[in-house]
This record gives sequence, C-alpha cells and structure tokens, in this order.
Amino acid sequence: MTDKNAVDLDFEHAYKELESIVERMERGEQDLENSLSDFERGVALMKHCHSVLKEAEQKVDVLVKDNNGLFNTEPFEEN
Amino acid sequence: MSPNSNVYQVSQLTDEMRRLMEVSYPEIWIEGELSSLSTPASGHLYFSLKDERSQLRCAMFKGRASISRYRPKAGDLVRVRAKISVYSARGDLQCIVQHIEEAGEGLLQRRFEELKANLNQQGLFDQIHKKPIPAFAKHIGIVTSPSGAAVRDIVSTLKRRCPGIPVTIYPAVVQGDSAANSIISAIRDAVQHQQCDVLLVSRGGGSLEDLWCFNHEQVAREIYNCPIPVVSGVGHEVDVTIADLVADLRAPTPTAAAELVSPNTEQLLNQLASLTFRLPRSFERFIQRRAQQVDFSGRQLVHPRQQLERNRSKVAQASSRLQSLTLSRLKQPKLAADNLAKRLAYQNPSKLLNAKTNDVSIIGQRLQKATYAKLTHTKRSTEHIASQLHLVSPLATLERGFAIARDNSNAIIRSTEQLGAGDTIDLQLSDGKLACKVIETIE
Repeated sequence: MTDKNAVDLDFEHAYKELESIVERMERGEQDLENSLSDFERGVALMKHCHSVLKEAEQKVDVLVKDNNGLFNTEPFEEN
Repeated sequence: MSPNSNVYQVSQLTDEMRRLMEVSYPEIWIEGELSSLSTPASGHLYFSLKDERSQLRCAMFKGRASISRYRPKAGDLVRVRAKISVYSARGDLQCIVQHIEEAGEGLLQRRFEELKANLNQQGLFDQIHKKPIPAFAKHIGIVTSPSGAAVRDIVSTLKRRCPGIPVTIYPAVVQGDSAANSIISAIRDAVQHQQCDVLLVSRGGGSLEDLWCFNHEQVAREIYNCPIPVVSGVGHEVDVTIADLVADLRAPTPTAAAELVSPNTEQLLNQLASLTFRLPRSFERFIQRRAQQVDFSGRQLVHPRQQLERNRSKVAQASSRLQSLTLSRLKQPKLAADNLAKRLAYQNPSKLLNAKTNDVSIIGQRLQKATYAKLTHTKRSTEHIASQLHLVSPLATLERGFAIARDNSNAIIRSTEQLGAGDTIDLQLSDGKLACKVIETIE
C-alpha cells in the first residue's frame, strides 16, 4: 500500500467513500489507471472500516478539572 | 364501698395500659403533620403528629433518629412507623417512632405533575425542538456517576457495539441534594469541552426520591438548552422523569441509551460485507471488458505482411495495365514510343515499391510493439489485482457466517424470483457446500 492509501478517516466518511468507489467501478466509466488506484483505495478503506467496527480498543476517559478549571482527561478505570 | 380488689394503683393501671397498647399495636404506620418539634442535646427527637382533629405525642430515640435520612421540619407531612405505648411517668399515650419519612410519594408526585404541566405549556417537550441523534457518533459523552451501575452498563454496551468510538465521562453526583447542580455543571462541562457530538444523561434505577434530581426544573432547562443532542437513560423502563421528556431522545434504561447512540455494528458489518463482495467483482468485470476491447482492437489490426501483399498486387495490376496501354500506344509514331519508353524506364515501379515496403514494415513493427506493450500491461495489472483480490476473498466473508447460494447452473442466486419450491440449490459455506432444497418462497 502506498501512503495515499493510508486511511485516517472516521467511519462515516470512510464508509461513504468506499460506497462511492464501488458504485463508480460498477459503472465502469474509469480508465485502467484510475480503476486500479480506486481498487487499492477501496481495499484500504474496507480494512479500515472493518477494524473500526471490530478490532478497535475502546478509549474511555473521565473528565477532570484542575484547580484553574482547565479540562483534562484520565483513562476511565472501572472499580 | 367498693372492695379493695377493684381499686387500681396509678402505676398498676399505666403499666397495664402500656402492655395492652404494645400488644394491640406492635408496629403500625401513621401519617400526619409534624409539629411541636423538639431536638434536645440527648439526640432523642420529640414531636407531635396531628391532623385536623387530633394529635399524638411521638418520641424517636437517638439510635433511630441518627440513621434517619429525613431531617424533620415542623409543618411537613410525614409518615412514621411506630409502636404505641404509654409513658408511665406522665401517663401519656406516646408513639415510639422507628422510622420517619416525608409522606413523599404523594407530595413528590404532585410536584412532578405540576412541573411537567408547566414545562409542557412552555413548549419544552415539543417535538420540533428535538435535535436528531447522529447515526455515526464520532465521540460519545456520558453525564453520570463514574462509580454507578449506569456507567458500567453503558460502557460495556458501547464496547460490545462500537469499540471504535471514543467515550468521555463527565462525572456528576446523581443522588442527594447536590445532584441537580452537579448534573447541570457536568452538562456545561461537556458543552465547553467540545468533544462529543452526542451526550447521554444517565442514572441507574432507584426510588422516586433517588431519581428526583432528574425531575428538577433547572436540570430540565439545561438539557433543553444543551446544543449537543441529549439522550436520557434514567432508572428502569417504568421511570419517566422530566429529563426524559425534555431530552432529544428518551431511552428506557442506561443500556438502551447506549444502544440508541451506537451504530448498529451488525448491520454495518453486513453492508460492509456486501461492498467487500462487490468491489473485487466490479473490478474483475472492468478488466474483462478491457480485455475484450483489446481483443477487438487486435482483430482490427492487419499484419504488415498482409498489407505488403495487398500493395504488391496493386502495383502488379497497375504495371500490367501500363504494359497493355504501352503496347497499344506502340502503334503510334516511334518517337512517341521512344519517349514513352524513356518515361516508362524513369517511372520504374520497383523504386516506389521499395520505399513503400520499407514504410509498411516500420509501421508494422510499431503496431506489433504497441499491441504487445498493451497486452503485457493489462496482464501485469491483472496479476496485481489477483493478489489484491486475495485480501478480500469472499471466503473470509464466508468464515464470518455468510453463505453463497447457487442454483443448479452454478449461478449466484440474488432474488427469490429465480427459484420456486422444490428447486435445489447449493449453499457454499467456508468449509464446504450443502445441497439444499427450497421449501417455500416467502415474499
């Protein structure tokens, strides 16, 4: 995978982009070069979406305010 | 004169009355207005319970009084659990109070109804003010106690349904006198923090008094004014609080609230699986179409040797026509013939033929090269794609429990209309196939 295929999107945007890539490829209006890069991008997006849904480790924080009323967060630990 | 045996001593009678009372009324509930409150240094509590016509003296001893949550106030309508007795020293009837509480249910219920009617009239519950809950939350906020049951339920539900979405807890006290202010300030923190795009306001189950902070007018207004969409999940299914009514969405429990703000991962995974299936197929079809186009272009190409033959035969025709023409002209004067012969020699076609042959073979080589390059490129791309396809092989999908159904011509079944009862189909699972029979089509 090249750098341009590294995915740093939230799920909603990644999913929508993937959907539009598949639709574009199904219409088949692209040339070979673009189709190939679309396909690579599609595979990267797919993996990303899947990991967001299935593999991610949830981050749960608790808000704490310091003496000056500034916000900070600490990892939440269940007791 | 009455006989001595019929005369009671004072203490004898009061003792007897006390026993009688204690046996007849071992433990009862009494409701009345609290008055004549006295709280001496001893820690005992003395007061009267009264209604329009009567009153009763009550005593609540230190041990009991000190563990009571209710702080007695003259004028309150209270409910007590007590034993009835007689205070021998004064011969007074008195209630020994075990437990005291505000005759709350009724009172709280009345206050609840009043506030509800009031806010309803002001339009705080109107549907038009309800903000939509995002389908894909990017960051979920929770206003609740970080040590309560609600936070556990919510966090574990979110972990199960959407582990990819970050969560921030805005700690609040959700019980007791400070709860309302604490909830209000936690909501403000969440707004100021500017992280979450949906906010849960939640608490586990409890008595009406426990949940009372969610029936607080200021809490209701804070939720109403909160720019972040608020989902309430307070208590159990049956508990409906003012906070629930004013929230953008009401969930019956904390767990349900977590479910409402988390996308349905199961459904998204299904949709994703369908895209995962369509992506390589659409690409395959694209390549097939391109390959066909290359085939077609290839057929349009004429091999240089063939082209050469065509040109040769044209030249041959021309030269034979020229010859016959020349012969007929030979009958003309010799000068003309000589002249012609000279011109003919000058026009020798072999020169032209050589030049043309050269051109054609150069073009031929270029064409061959171009065709070969295009075919090699397509082949390489296809190989690359094949390796990509492996990453998204439908077999991986099958391992997650999906199956591919095919009819007896091995085509994939996409619609119920392709089949009728009695038809046989193959179900391909990850580890093999099942031969199945259609029992019925359900529309």
